[in-house]
Amino acid sequence: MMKILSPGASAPDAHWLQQLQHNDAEGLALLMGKYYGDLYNYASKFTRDEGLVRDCIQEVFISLWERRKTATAILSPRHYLLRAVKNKVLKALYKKDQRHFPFDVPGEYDFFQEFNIEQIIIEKQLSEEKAQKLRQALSALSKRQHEVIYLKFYQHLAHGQIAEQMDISRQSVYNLLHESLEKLRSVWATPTSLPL
Amino acid sequence: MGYPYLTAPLKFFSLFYSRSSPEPEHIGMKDYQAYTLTDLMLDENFIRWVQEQRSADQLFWEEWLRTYPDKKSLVMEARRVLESINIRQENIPKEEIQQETARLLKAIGAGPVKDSTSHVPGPFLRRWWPAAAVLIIGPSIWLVSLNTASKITEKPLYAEQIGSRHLIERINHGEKPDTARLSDGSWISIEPNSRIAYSSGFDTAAIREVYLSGAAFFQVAKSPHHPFHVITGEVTTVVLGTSFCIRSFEKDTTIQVTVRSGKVSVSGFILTPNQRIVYKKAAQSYQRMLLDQPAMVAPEITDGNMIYEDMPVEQVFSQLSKAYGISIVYDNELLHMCTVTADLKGETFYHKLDLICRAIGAAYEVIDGQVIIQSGGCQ
Repeated sequence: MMKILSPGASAPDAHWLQQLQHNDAEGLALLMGKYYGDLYNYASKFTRDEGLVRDCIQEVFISLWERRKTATAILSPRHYLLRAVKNKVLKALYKKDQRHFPFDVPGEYDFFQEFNIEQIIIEKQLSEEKAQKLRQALSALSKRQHEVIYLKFYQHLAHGQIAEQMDISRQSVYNLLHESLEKLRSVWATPTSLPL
Repeated sequence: MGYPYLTAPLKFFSLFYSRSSPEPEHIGMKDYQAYTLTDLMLDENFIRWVQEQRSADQLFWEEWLRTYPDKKSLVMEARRVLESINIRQENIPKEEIQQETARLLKAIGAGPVKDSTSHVPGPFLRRWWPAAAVLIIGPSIWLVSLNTASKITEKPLYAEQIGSRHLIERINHGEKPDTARLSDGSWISIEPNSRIAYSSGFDTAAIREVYLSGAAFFQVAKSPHHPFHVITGEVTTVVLGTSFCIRSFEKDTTIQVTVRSGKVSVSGFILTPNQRIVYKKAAQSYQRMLLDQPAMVAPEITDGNMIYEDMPVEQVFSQLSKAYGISIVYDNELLHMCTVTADLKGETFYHKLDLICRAIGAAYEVIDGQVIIQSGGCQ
């Protein structure tokens, strides 16, 4: 029973590359089925254009299929796909609007991310004061801090992978994470009594 | 059809979506004692504990905290920060993913392949993989699943679960609880409109399994080498010798597990007395809380002993904690000068807590089923 509850994460991944190389499209379909949600969620943080997000994900998988013979070096499909989708989306956005998209300024892209503050308030039975502090702390996070939080706590990438993904150094990844967590920590720092 | 048929494929699906973290390395190998708050918050094992509540992690960290009790506030703080990271995620409907997969296959010129996203595990998997509740030791546990059950939806699942196995079935059509005594010495009080099933060789099996539809109270004979499982559709309860009550009717939106004494683990959450865990079926989320009216659980500590004069507050908290089986977290160093003079006889748990906190100028907060004392210390 326990095995089923903690499904071997590698099991679906193990054969996909072999399948791809044997021209078996099922491997590609499995891969898409497994990562589509994560890729969609990540990609839609750069743009609110859903059609564009879908098309970019398609293109990433199509180009993976086209390059399947040389794809042996992909160690982590998650990392590979996240990177590819991000690049694809940012490029598409740039193409669409070169004037307004400062693509040449690294890290200047948007990152739309919302927190479930209401859920936290209910679950933690937060006072209005705490809730306000939390809102402030979250809105004080920069776009890159949002992205680093997402990649670390939602995609569970290693710091080195996050560094590649965001095109920054590992030290910067650590710094961004540390600063973000400090901001959140300050929310909980002062004692408050809760009515029970 | 009962909900497992509806939700199981979806849940299976979400498993695919869940993070693909590696199986736990031996987390005990890390020297967490030297970890700072940031180190902890960035540690994958720690994050997994907070986010996924796996029982192995839960056991590890509870044990670790028993070894290093002074780290408790650090751990609580790290947990609190991580728990406040709750990003709104878009749930992509299965249909959309199927559609996009079909589109992809068409684009690469491949015919339709076996649909990976709608893959439904076989009946055995379907029955087993959903949320498991694990109960560990301890005498009286209530599992309450508030429900207005529809027997029509309930029976197919139960029937499916007991299926072709040759099981002994007990059904209570009456209006009063009916008691079944099992061959291992356990007994089960079956509530009206409820039924249980178990195999004849039940007591000699590696796992003692009882299927339940409805509500029942269990007094389980201890037999550590033969874990006792109660299978109630979505939740499997694993018991190692205890008594508890389960109510599980299928139309419920929540399943609640309440512990009056002893110790229980439900899907990785260790529950101690006066704690309740609420499992929301739709959201598949758990929340641990304290009961509104905690009851005293330690017979040796009577209310009448709770009269203090210039008593160090640590002793007062320790007695309160033992009396109710509720853990109270505070900073030893800050509070060691604080004393309490109070008569707590006959007060409720929360009122006792209020009076103590007032006496030492502290505040308290209930987080994750524990009481956290916040104070600037005493002179």
